Amino acid sequence: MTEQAVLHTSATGGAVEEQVPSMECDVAVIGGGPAGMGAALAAERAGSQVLLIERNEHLGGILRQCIHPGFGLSHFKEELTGPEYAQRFIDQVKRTDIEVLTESMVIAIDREPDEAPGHLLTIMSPDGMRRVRCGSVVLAMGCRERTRSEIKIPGSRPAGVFTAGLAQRYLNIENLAPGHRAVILGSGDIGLIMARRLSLEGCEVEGVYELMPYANGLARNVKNCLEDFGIPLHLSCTVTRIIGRGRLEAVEISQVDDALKPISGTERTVPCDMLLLSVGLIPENELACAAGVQLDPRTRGAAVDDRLMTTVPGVFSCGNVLHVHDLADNVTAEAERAGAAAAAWAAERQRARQGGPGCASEPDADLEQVPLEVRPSGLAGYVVPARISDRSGCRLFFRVRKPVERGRIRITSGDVTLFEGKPRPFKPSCMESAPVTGRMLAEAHGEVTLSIEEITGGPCDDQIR
Amino acid sequence: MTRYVETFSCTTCPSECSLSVTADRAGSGEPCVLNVTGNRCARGEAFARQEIVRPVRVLTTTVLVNGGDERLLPVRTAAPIPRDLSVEAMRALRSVVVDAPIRMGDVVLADVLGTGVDVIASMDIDRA
Repeated sequence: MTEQAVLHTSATGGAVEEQVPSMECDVAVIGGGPAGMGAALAAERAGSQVLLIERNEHLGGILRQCIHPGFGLSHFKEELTGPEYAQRFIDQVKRTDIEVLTESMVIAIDREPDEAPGHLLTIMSPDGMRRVRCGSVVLAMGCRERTRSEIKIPGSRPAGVFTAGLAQRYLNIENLAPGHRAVILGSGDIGLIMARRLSLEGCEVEGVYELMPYANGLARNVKNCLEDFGIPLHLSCTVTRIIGRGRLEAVEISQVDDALKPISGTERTVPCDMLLLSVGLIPENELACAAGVQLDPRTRGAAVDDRLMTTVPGVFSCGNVLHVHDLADNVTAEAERAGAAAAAWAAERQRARQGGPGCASEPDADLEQVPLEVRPSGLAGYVVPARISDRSGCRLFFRVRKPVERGRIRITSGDVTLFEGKPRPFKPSCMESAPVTGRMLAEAHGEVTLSIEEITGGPCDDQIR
Repeated sequence: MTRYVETFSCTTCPSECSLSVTADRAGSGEPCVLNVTGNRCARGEAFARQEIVRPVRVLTTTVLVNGGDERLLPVRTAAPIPRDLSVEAMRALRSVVVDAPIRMGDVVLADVLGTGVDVIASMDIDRA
């Protein structure tokens, strides 16, 4: 990679000599967690010059604080802790020519004119600003936790109200005790994991309260993190008031009705000095939006095609910034696809540039048919990708909105049923996928709908089918 | 002799099979597992049997680091240990301090509580 002061066209249109250091690469990956490392390694394997940009001091992302086991079962065929899973990828990255920038934050992604490599990143680091020109970009910034303000809990504003992941960081990275007696709102995996972690560290966990009538986390976490420690899980409950001056003193808990509204008269006050919120994650897409990437309102991640390319040509997305995953192994698998696709894009772009100005259009744009729009229906809360360009087949990733004992996947296009699955249970805590083959897509026109339908009939339905 | 059935989720992989175990218990003695259903693999059966007799878990926590570029080192038991030893193992680990640099897999506490299982580093930590 070359580093030099470059001639840069300023916003006002004039060419000005800047002292901003500049680098070039084929593929720039933003975010050094499992998604970013997986994408960077795949792009490098595909022959690209790769730059991996991480905001923190170290690679690894959120896995550095996820000290519990349960990682790697599908990717490494053994059970690892989060830091071990991260370290294996860090070691792989070190063995390659991938250039890593830590303590560096991308603040803008701009498109370059057609004759240039493609994208221009603006990066801030302790050394100051720098620019990176690259053929393609992989977004791998992960997600953020929903906070108190997003679920609008009434009451005072004392210290002691944390998102579960922040408390995890205090405990596992910074060696700070977030409190002595915890109430956990939300049964997402991080909340469950923190219930166990706090118990092991000698804190009291009064209980976990879940708004929905079912647990949101993985079954293994309910068992290993709550049942092992005798921590009660209260379903259909929520925190309706935060009480305390200066420091949290108690929370008010209420039961909720079928419409998830608190039931008046069910309030009870639970003394505690910390409230952990495990109430969902939101893909961190401010940077992507500023770059013109369109989001899918359901996932709040980018609306991507089957190559994981966003609506901005040459910008790809993977991992929790695309949609929230429950397993790091799935993040890795997705990131490898994004990295390989970004490498192919950058290589194609490079060839087009060398072929002369006439070939500088988008790679293989004329070869592509109009993409099929992909939509969720029924109990499917979302589907990734949002578009299918390559009709040779791909996998559709989805999550159901509520658990069902007997449901069925149905993939349709207009009136044509392309695929129908066998009845089986579906849980919102598990992201799932279904393949669509080239043969199915040959019958599709305009759109593809993935639907999960609840089956209410008896088990004899199976035999009739 | 009491015959009883316990149902719980398998935690060995993300498939989350719902296991049902029938066992006999005589007095306060060790239960005798008669049969396991609901598992879709051999690991599930082994897990169910162990879970009835004496549950084991991988214990993870952190220990203090001297002179590292991180304050804490995440550690794990190299293999699962009996769940009923968790609290005592945590106590044993509370006073452990390690010096940087550390490499993943380094033994932090050998043969914890005589289980034959080492506590090992989950991650590299370099000198500050």
